[in-house]
Amino acid sequence: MITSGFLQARNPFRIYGTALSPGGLLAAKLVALVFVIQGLWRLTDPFVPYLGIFDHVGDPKTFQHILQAVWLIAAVTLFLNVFPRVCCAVLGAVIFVALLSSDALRTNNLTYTALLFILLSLSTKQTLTTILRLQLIVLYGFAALNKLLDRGWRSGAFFESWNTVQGYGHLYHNLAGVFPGRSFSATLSWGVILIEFLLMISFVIPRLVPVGALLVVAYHSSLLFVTGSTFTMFWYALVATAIALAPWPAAPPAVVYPRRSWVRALRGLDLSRAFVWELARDAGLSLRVGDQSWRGRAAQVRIVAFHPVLYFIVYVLLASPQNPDRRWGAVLAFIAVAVATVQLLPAQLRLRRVLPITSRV
Amino acid sequence: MSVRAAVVGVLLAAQCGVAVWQHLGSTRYFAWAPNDYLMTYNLQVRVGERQLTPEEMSQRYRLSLTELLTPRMRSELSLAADERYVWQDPPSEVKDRIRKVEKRRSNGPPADVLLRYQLDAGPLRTWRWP
Repeated sequence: MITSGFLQARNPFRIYGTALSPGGLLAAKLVALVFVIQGLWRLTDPFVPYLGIFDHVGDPKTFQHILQAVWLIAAVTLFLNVFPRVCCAVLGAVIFVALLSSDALRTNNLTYTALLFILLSLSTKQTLTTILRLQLIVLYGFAALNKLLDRGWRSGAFFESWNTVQGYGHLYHNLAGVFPGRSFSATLSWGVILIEFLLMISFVIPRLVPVGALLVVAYHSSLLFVTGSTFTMFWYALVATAIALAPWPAAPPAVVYPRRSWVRALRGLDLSRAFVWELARDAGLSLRVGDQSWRGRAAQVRIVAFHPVLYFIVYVLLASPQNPDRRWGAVLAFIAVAVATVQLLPAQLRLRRVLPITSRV
Repeated sequence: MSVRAAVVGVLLAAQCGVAVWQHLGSTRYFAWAPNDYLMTYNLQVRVGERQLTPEEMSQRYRLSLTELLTPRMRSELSLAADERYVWQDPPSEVKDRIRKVEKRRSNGPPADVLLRYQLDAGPLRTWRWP
């Protein structure tokens, strides 16, 4: 017999009450969803593999079909909240096997996606932030170092040529031509190197992790805005990482909301049951997490920030193949970063002597 | 230390090890260097007496041979007139790919490959296989 409890447990939008932290589970579901929508689940058959073992897997198409089937089963199971930790491990491992089996499939963005799934599977509610921090230190540290050691990056030659072959290349070339030599491109080039080192440093210092998470969103969204490209999975996976690093409440927060309010729409959208909703007797809106509570705009911002379905909607619309220009996603991300910087970051950094929204459990 | 923490440690250490190792050579496999290079190139492959079409070369090497370079771009960057394609990883990785594909092909006549390329719009270089 199917009970409401069973249905709630298998709710694909659910993020609370599993072995994974709420932010970690949401990140895994968002990335898996994009992977499916964009057809990346098709993976690959072996082609110039990095390990000799993949030369002996038998029929290449059978190998590919097995990878696809295992990945899809793990994805469906993840959305049904059955053994989410194991599902994440399988999702990441299958992508990693595919990457090792084909030089043509291997990209940095798919490597990061595979690692993100695997690291989420290895995380607990206590260790998630530390594990993701360490991964981001490695990622941005080596990305910045590679640029710093490359002559083309230091001189601006790479930056000038790379931007000139983009859709906006003519505009860039004319703008760069206003300045002497390669000074314009070299300045921007060094700016990128500096930003990536700053990103690394922000994750080295635990107190600066919220700043780093917002910088990740702003930096990759600026790349999306300028180029119009998400670089396949990079934008989705790194923004999902930043979402996982947000201070998610340990349990669904309680919302007391007035009858006539746009917050009612958010209640209607709360398919994940991520809040406990209660009609207010007066006109005030409030949000309570443990022994902390917020009212008015501070409550509104936190309800939006911790509303999983809003992230699902944005990710699905952005990843949709019918959506060739994805720059609106960058604009939305800039707005989110600006609001979070004003409304959430000071509390996170304890600048206003306000405790974080909740402590991690 | 838990098993999970140990696995995380191994994964992070492996990434650092591979990245440092890759920096000793000219490739950047699994080394966190996303889209850090701009190689503009042209590829010509002759098998026996026949010149392969872009579609055939694309299938043979699984390279994305979409022509992204316009005459304007070639002119602004002083690229060679016959350069058509773009690769955003080190040139050694394209050469590696072609070399490995050709070494694995046991049947059919051998291929003569001519790769002409520029890195970051620098000097024009030529690479041949075999």
